[in-house]
Amino acid sequence: MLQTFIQIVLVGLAVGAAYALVALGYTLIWNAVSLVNFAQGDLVMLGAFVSVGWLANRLGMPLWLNLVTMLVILGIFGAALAWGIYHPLRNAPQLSAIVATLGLSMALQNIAVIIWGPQPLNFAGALGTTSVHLFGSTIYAQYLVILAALAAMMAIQHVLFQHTGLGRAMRATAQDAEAARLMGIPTARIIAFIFAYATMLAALAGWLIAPLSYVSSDMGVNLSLRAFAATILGGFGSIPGALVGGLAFGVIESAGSFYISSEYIDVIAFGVLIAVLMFRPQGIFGELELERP
Amino acid sequence: MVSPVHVSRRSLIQALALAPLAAPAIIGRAHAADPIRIGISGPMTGQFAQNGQWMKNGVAIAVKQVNDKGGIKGRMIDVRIADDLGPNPTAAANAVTKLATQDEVVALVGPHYTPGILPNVPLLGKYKIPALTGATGPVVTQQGSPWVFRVRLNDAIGADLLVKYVTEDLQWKKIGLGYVNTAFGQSGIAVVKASLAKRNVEPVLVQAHTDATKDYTSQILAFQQAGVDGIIVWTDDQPAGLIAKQSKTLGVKFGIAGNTAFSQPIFLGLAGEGADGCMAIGEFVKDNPDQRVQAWKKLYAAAYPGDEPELYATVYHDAARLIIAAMERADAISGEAIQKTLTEIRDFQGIVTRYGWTDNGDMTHSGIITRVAGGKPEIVKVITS
Amino acid sequence: MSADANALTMRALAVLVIATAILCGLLLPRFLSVYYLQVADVTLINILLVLGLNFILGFGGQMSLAQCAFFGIGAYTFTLLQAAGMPVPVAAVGAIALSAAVGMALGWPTLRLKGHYLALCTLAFALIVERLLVNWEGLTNGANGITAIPGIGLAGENDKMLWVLLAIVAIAYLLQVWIANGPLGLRIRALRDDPLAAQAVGVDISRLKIMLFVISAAYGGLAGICYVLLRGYISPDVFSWQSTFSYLAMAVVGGLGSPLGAALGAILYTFVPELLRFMQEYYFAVFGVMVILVITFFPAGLSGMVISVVRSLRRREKSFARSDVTHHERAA
Repeated sequence: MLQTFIQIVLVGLAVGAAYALVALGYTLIWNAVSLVNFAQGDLVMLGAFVSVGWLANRLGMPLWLNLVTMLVILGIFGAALAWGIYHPLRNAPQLSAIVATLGLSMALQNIAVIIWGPQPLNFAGALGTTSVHLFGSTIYAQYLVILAALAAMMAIQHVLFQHTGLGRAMRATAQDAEAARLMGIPTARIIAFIFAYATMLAALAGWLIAPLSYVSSDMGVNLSLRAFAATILGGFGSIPGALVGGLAFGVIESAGSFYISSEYIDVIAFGVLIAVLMFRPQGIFGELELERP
Repeated sequence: MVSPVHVSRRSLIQALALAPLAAPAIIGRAHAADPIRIGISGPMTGQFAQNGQWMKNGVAIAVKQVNDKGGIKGRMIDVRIADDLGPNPTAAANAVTKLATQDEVVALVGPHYTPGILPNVPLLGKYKIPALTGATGPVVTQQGSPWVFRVRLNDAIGADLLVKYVTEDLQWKKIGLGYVNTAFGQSGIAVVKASLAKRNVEPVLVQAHTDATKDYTSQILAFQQAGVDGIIVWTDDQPAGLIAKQSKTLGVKFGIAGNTAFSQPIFLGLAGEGADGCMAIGEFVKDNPDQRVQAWKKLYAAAYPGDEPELYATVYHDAARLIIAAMERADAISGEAIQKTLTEIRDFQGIVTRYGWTDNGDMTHSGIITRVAGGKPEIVKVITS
Repeated sequence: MSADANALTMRALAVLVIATAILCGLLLPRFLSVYYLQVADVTLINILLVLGLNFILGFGGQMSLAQCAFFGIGAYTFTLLQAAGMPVPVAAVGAIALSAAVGMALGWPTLRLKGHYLALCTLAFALIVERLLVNWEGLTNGANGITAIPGIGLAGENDKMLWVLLAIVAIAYLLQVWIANGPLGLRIRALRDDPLAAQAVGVDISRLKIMLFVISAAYGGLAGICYVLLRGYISPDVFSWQSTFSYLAMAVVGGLGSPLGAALGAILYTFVPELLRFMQEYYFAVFGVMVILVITFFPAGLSGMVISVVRSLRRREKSFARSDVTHHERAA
């Protein structure tokens, strides 16, 4: 029984780690420019397609070169988004920008089908279906890679934000872009950088989860929803919140499906979410005065 | 260019601004021109676009064949396609209405999904157009519409054949059930349950998933804990592949059987080694040594180099051939005449099977049970009901 | 603005809206094919949904993503009540009442939630409703949906349904303007523009927010009834949680808080993809880009553009009294 429990929790954490990676992207963009990017999940899909559909299947790139090249491509794409979507709308009402990201999401999903075709693509990744035995339970080695990657990204992010000039510029831009600009910080470039970084985070998530299932144009839809739920559960704008929210949501889903009902799993998971918000309207780590005009 | 509206020449913004005003331009009804039009209503964009692609491929080959021979009574066939977004009742009703009233097609291939065909059942009667669908839910033909023809095996028959096989031939006693929580999966598993009940077997565990479920660990563990001999799963190709793959990884001992998904290429690609041993009730496998299937494989590869036919392209190719055969026999080229002739078909040799109409609109009556070995589905049993 | 001026505008607007509806009813069937009439019918239902969303999102400034759920609750309640033998008017009133009641049940506990927290909570609610429609097979017949619903016998009769829908939408449109112009409207604007100040002058914000939720939900329920009448078939796919984003986009693209915007947004979002069908598999990609472009060029929505055009035309003749109902630069 205990063994099963460990297995369920491990899988939940691993699935939740993917949510957390996407949630981190939401959080970064929100903190920087007060925009909820509903296309964040589709950037996951885009990263996976570029990596699998182009770099692996067409060019046969070795895995690590594949990862680096894909991150560069998606980073450029992310910076282009800042320029193409965010800048024209930076003075528009927040909801307008959100709807623009909805339009982006629709466009990306359909363009992906046009470029890479409607058939799902398979990707073995580095480990294929290798599984490891841990505390007497069996789990894909890839899941451990995802958890490790999440930990690494958290560390990198911490160092970047707290201990580098770029990080300070990013934080300053996030707190008050106008003041930061007056202080001589090139805010436009910093915002482009934040978009690039958030896009690379999403793309990394796509690269990491692709070997576990398959790459398809709709793979971002449910990831988006669950990552958004994780962000809210943790507290909007909070980086530890995104992490804890993602992992918690993964475990709730995995355990709820096993112990209660697989048929009603969405009802359970999102019901828990609503219940948490009733008692803590700002999420686990959120601050009450978070809302911005 | 299919639409009578020539928006393409305007810039996007202009088109947008003028769209509501352009209404009068929409009026133009197609002239009763020379070619005979048949329509395809299927998912052409979005997550289900693969099925639409296969529908198009299968139909195109049949239509090209007849057009190369000079058409039907000297008239060429022209295929009109409308995107119905798959299981989307609103879009499907719009797509079929467009094909029927705007493009004036005389017969339809599709819609492929149960929630796509159901809202159209009354409309088909109203526009007097027969539709040949591959939706397998029993509910589709239970509507009693004379305009709906099903060219695939009714799940009510298929599920029963599969249950008979696993309980009698394989002697499964403790059975778990899994299904995708859509119209397709729900109605499929309902007939499996009914068929089990007929044999006094109560499933020990029932688990549901969605197309978005990517990790089946908790479900597989639950089946294992329940100590099942095997599971019967009614689902789409992708979940089928993941279930088989992850069961293999977790080292489970129980058997896996299911609907035709468990023999299709997407499943085989995703499941990898996990596919071996999986059983399916279906209609078509491309490795069938039958010479008709082998000839079809060559024909398909010639039309789409590097590609191999699967179930849907093949079924809808047969559907198009049925429509063509009906038009050749009919005394007039109209929806009504084609509908009448289709009901007179009793023994039409298609690639998948021999088609014959029965009162409720079902045209297929035999299935095959396959078992995957060495990555290829092999036929274990051919059953005719 | 004096009450007199409002009453006058209201009367003029009523004449204008009713005249437009009658004109549409007379002209559209002459000029549009059966297919485009059907698209027009769907558009009218979408207008109704977006008008409803306008109350809570546009007027209340509350980001609700539950409109698809009320749409579904209205449709299923109407269908099931009718199946239980109730006459159409009773079933319709019951469906609207239940939608409104659920709106209240959702609005009350979520009062403390702000911005994205409310957005997610309402989205989670929409998803739960959809899953219940799928899973509760004994009541809803599951994912297969319910076929051959009698309604008022006009399912598939696109031309006759056009009149029914035009009448309902015209009334719903005028009701929205009337509410926005009335005493309630003043409090609504106070809530949107400065909740703290509104509270200070004695506006019961909580009650107001719940009221907006309720009206919003009632409109959604009414749209559900209309869908049943038009189609005669419902399934959970019609009310999927993803569809709620389309209604959000319609409201914003049209112009938040503006009834005219609701109409324009719904027309754009429903008609344009149908017009773009000739682009085959490219059409939704193109439409997505189009949404981005429209938002970029008209961040205040299409109604903002229309109004500024009208205003610049009128300004030449005489100074123009600004109408608060249809004019909001700032969104929620």
